[in-house]
Amino acid sequence: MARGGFGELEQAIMDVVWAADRPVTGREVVDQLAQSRPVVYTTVLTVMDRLARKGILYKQPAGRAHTYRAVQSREAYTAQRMAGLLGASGNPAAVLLRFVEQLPADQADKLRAALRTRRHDRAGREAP
Amino acid sequence: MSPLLAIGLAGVTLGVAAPRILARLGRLDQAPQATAYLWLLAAVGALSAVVLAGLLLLVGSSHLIIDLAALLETCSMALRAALDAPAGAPGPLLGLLLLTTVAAGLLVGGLVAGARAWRAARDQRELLTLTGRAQPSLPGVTVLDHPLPLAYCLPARVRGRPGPVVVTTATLRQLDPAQLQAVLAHEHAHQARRHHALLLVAEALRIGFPWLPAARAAHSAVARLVELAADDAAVHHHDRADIATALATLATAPAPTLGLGAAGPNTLERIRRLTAPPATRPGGALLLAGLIVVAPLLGQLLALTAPLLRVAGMPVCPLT
Repeated sequence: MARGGFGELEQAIMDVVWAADRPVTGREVVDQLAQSRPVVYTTVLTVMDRLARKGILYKQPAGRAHTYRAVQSREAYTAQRMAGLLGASGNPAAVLLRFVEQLPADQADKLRAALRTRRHDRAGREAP
Repeated sequence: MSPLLAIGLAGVTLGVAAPRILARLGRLDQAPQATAYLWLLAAVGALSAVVLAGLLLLVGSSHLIIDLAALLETCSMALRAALDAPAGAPGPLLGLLLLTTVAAGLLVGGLVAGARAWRAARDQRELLTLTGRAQPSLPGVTVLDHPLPLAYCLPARVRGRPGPVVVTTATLRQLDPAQLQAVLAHEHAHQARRHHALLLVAEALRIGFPWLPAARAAHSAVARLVELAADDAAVHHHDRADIATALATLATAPAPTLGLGAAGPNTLERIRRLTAPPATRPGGALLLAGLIVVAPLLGQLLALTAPLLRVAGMPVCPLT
């Protein structure tokens, strides 16, 4: 996905927050990010506040500053956002077109068996 | 035949008979994209018949037929005779009911399907922004770290930039490069042929008009046909066996984390179609299907406009 604007920074911030196993301050996130890229403190805080408004980060006052933590773990967040796509909540929306859906176990077994037979047949024909 | 009867017949043909016929013409699968359009056209045509019938019933009320006569500069009696619209008590009310039903269905279906798609697109873009990775070897593809082997695409963006094609790390592990390229070609075909828009229309129709057989059946038919169309597009530049193997691999991959809903019942059919392509061409079947949809569409328009045109040149009332 093309990431214009703050998309890439958002991802970098969430990587830091998700990797930490405790609430982090804006300063800690900035220090982490600064090891690999030039960052501006106020920009990072602005983006983190925006993530908090979107309900992705939870912002808590701690002394004179604030701490942030992820509302959901990375896995839970991904699973929740995928629910619509996977049809777990009824009909998947028309905005997502999946290549193929997973077959239920019994059908998958049948398909595997059919493919094995097919391969076997072909091998039989090719080697008289 | 009275215009109202003709419009009614056209409506029943499009709304009830056409979906049955389209579903039975197996050779239409050889032209999936065109057939998808025919499905939607049949449903929309049935609705247009309801609208025209509603208008005709409404016009039957004496006040409106006099207005229309003045507009056409003709005599109201001649107009009434030509349109053969039932005058009297239940007509206008029934007409209004028909028009309201269609308007409400369009509104509700459009809003519900649109909102659902918009929300899903917003969630997906957020998910991809926060957790998606670009892969230098795969331009335009976003990789998600996920244990389920998924491949999907979002619609092409409005401002002309291509929408993302998404694959998960599990997909990358299970497919070889040729198979992956075939899958990506399938997804790009969805985007290039505006399949998301077709499905959105079908979904809006299904939600808005559950009482109309054509609208009820169109959604699952279109969902199936766009997959066939994307498979056909991918076959142009990729090996059939690669697409079929990718389908089989991803469809039979164990789904470790999520209890999934109904699986695509078309998967086996798609694999069969790719490995043993039918030799026949759609030919006559497509012509027949086109005729069944287009003829009633034209018929209902003619049923209303022909009498109007006929009386428009008739300035004086024959009896007065």
